[in-house]
Amino acid sequence: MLWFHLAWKEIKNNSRFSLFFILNLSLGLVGFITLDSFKQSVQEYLLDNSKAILTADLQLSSREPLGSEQTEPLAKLLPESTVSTAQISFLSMVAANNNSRMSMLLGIEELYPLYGDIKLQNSGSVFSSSARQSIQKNNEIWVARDLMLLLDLDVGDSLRIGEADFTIGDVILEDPSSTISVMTSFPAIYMSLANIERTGLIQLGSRISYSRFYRVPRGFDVETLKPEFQRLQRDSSRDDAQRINIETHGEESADLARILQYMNDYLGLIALIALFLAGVGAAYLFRAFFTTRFKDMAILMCLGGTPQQAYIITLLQIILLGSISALLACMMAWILMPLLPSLFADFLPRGFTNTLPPSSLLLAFVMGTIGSIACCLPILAKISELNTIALFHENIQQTTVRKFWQRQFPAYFPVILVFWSLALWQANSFLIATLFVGSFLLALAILGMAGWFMLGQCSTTKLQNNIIVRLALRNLVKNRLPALSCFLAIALGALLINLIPQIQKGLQQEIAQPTDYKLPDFFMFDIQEEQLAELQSLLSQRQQAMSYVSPMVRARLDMINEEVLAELVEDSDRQMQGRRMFNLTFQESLKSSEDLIEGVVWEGPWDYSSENLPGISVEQYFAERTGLKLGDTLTFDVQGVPITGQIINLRKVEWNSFQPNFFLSFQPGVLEPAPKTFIAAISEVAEEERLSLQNAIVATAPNVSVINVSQIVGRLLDITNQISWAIKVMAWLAILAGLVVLFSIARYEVQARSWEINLMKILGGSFTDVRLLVQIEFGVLGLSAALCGVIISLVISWGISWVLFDALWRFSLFTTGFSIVAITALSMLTALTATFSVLRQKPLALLRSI
Amino acid sequence: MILEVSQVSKSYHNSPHPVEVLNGLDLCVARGESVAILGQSGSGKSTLLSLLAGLDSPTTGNITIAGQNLSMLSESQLAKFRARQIGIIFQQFHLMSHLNAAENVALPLELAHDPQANKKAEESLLQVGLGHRLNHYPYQLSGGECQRVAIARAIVVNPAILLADEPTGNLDNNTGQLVSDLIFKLVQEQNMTMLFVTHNEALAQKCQRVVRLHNGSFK
Repeated sequence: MLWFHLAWKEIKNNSRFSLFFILNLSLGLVGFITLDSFKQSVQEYLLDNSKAILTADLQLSSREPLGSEQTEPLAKLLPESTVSTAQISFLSMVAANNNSRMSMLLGIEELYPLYGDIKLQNSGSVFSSSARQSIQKNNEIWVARDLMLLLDLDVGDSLRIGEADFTIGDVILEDPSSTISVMTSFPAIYMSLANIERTGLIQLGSRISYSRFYRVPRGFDVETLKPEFQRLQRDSSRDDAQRINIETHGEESADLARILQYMNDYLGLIALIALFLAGVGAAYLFRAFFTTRFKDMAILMCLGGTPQQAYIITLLQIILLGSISALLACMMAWILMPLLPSLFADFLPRGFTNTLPPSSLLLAFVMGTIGSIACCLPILAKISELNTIALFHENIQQTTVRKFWQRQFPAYFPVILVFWSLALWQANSFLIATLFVGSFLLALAILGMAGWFMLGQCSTTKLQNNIIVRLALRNLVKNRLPALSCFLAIALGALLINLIPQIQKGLQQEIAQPTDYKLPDFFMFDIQEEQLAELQSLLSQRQQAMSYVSPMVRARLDMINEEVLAELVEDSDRQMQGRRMFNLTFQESLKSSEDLIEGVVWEGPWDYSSENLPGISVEQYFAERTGLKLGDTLTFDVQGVPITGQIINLRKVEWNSFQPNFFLSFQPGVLEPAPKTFIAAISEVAEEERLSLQNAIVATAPNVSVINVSQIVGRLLDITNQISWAIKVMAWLAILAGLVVLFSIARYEVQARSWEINLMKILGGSFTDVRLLVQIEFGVLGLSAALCGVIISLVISWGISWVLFDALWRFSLFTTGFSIVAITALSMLTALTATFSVLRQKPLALLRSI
Repeated sequence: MILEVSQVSKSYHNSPHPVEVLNGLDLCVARGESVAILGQSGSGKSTLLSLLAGLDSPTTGNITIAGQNLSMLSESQLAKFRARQIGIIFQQFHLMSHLNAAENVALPLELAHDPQANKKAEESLLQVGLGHRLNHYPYQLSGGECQRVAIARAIVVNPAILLADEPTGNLDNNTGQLVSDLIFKLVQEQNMTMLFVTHNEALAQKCQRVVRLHNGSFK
């Protein structure tokens, strides 16, 4: 209790130090806590709602109809009281009132959904109304509210879908199964299974999903069922067995959570930098506080205290301050909580609410205390060097008996370990965490060296005729270590702030206006072979043409190098698991969006009498992921017919060209007879013509899906803007943490130098002179740090752009210039604010304080 | 004898040439005796005090206080011994800035887990005439008052020996006189053993015995 009392009294009596320490650390923690609470909330939501999202405990799905033969193996594994219901779904264009929209058509049975209520405008809950019975008996459909508004429809209106007309029976207000929609959201239209057949849109080659949903009795674990079912499927002699997919409600939620997890993880790494900067600030503040405490600790030891007791008091203080910081950070996170759901609105499940779970609170306290101890450990190590004998002398100072590196180096290990552990926990990847910490330390080392060099140059600059400039620059040289801490904090912030918009700008420019490519206006897919001529005729009437017409054949990969894939999956590390169905194409030569990387391009169609196998071209990253290489033979099952080809080249695809691109492409002369659909693009359609052209295509070929590319591009730009905005918020948090570091250091340094300032005033210096001194000192520091940070950010963004995005790098003069000017100005302003009270003191008051 | 210093030497080896600060000191102090150690700056007074306080160990020789050879004690045993047996008054007062007068005085008792710490601290402050300043912090006290708090802190544990390191060196003449009078009065009243380090001849003469330290040796 005595130790706690002593620790608390000291903190209370050093309220300014405590306040800055807490503010600094809580700023570093707040990003982390906000992100963690968001992550936990998403996970909790998905866990609680996973059955509603899937609408069942278990789903069996296939691209082919699921008859009793297909569902029987699973039915045998399920308890008798299991309830099941079928669903057919696919995307289709829906048109009305001179407008059209790609929609998700869902044919359902009376029991659907097994979990998760659908809320309708007129009938309300489908569970507590007769809406599900009504939709089965009548020619009735339920239409999503978004689609009703877009097509200007009302309940009771007639809507033509494919070849049949339907009556809108109700409007869907809430549908738990339509949760996360990232790229595009397809409004739903529900109808009975019989009615979906009536649309006539289910044709050969159409991308139809046949599902059967299961609700098992409470207590039955569906997760254990999956491996058994998969084993049965592998052992089955049935041809379609491999094409049936089984998914549990947990997996569905995990899939949905993954994209949010990725974004959260990367944002978390940025938050980690803010936390690191806050740690630097906390360590610096603590060092300043600790120096003043040396005398107190020496007195304590003279009165009978031991070094261990001094450690206990200091540790208690750090834990106390860390806990209060954590508490403040939680309060700030609670205020910031609504921000993240609005930033990720398009990625989040509907009905999601963000909460601050107890685990996030616990994390805050653990990080606040352990993080503080780790940051202050190098300083704590100095207690062992406390010299109590000095109490009998004028000044109390620690002695440096051991060499610097011997004392400090081991104390920094826990700091790096804690930082790495946090990165690992945040990134969920050993490699990414190590790369992140490694790159971060490298950037820190480079910035440190650059800062050390630049500060060293201050003594040799020719601008030393002016006494104020001379004093300011010499202060930087004299106090190079604290100046370097400020330099690193500002430079890291500048690096982050400039890096994100730099990459974003290149990426967005390439999405909106890719170099060397003209973006098409429309994409059409699911075009039946017999519809090609009809569509070409329609387009030529409107002075338009189809381009990049590419055949698409659905096939199942059965063997690689004559080894059956089912066996390969079990024995090899190839990442082919779960991916057996592929869309193949055939083409005479490489497209403008493709470049040959390795191998040769085929010349002409494959000769049936040739001894060679037909050639296959594989996209290079797909080959890397799946372990495919030149010379490998691939055997596909195309509607029951085995077709074997050999990989003869690897090609690079410019995916941002928005042309129909495929992972696997066959030499012509092989797949032509196979059942196929076509993909095509339409370019150079005037903006005012686009809607009427889309409507005309839907009227001519109702089964053909039309994608408006400009809408997709707009959506992509929105998403990059949203992600970039979220990252920028975290980066500004890092800058804010950096400014608090600067504030703390400037305040401490100017206070420590108050006698110099006092002397300057006594010798005739005015308030303007001393203010100018601080402005120059911290202005030079801010400018050099911003310059270094920005230059390194340009180098990194260039590197990232080359490695990840194939040279999408664009130099943004405005962003760069603005970053440098703003950060320099902010540094000067922060330093002035921090030192104002000391600077404006009268010399007499300062004299008394000495 | 309450204090026995036997052939104590102290040298430092930090610089290329070892510096011998104390050289073969012998000193015996009886219980209740007050001894003044007179010496100029650099004579080794402060080093001797740090050895007597157990804050440093002699290079050679032994120091025994109340029958306990200090060199036989571990670091933690020394700390406990200091808390119970040694009272120190510094020239610079050395009060904890964040503790008030009563808390400063109670601190050594609390370190020794004395349940009566607060009561004894108040009594000790009353003895030095600061009963009305119990809750004042060091920055709210004058130099003389600070030193009186330091005296109260030193005597509150009823130490076997009181070490005073130029206790009036930081005070003006009048205040210094008041403080030294107070120390000698308390020492006499409580029959305490005291080593009084000073370079003031007049103050030294107030002690029962005066020893002179010159270049690390008693003259």
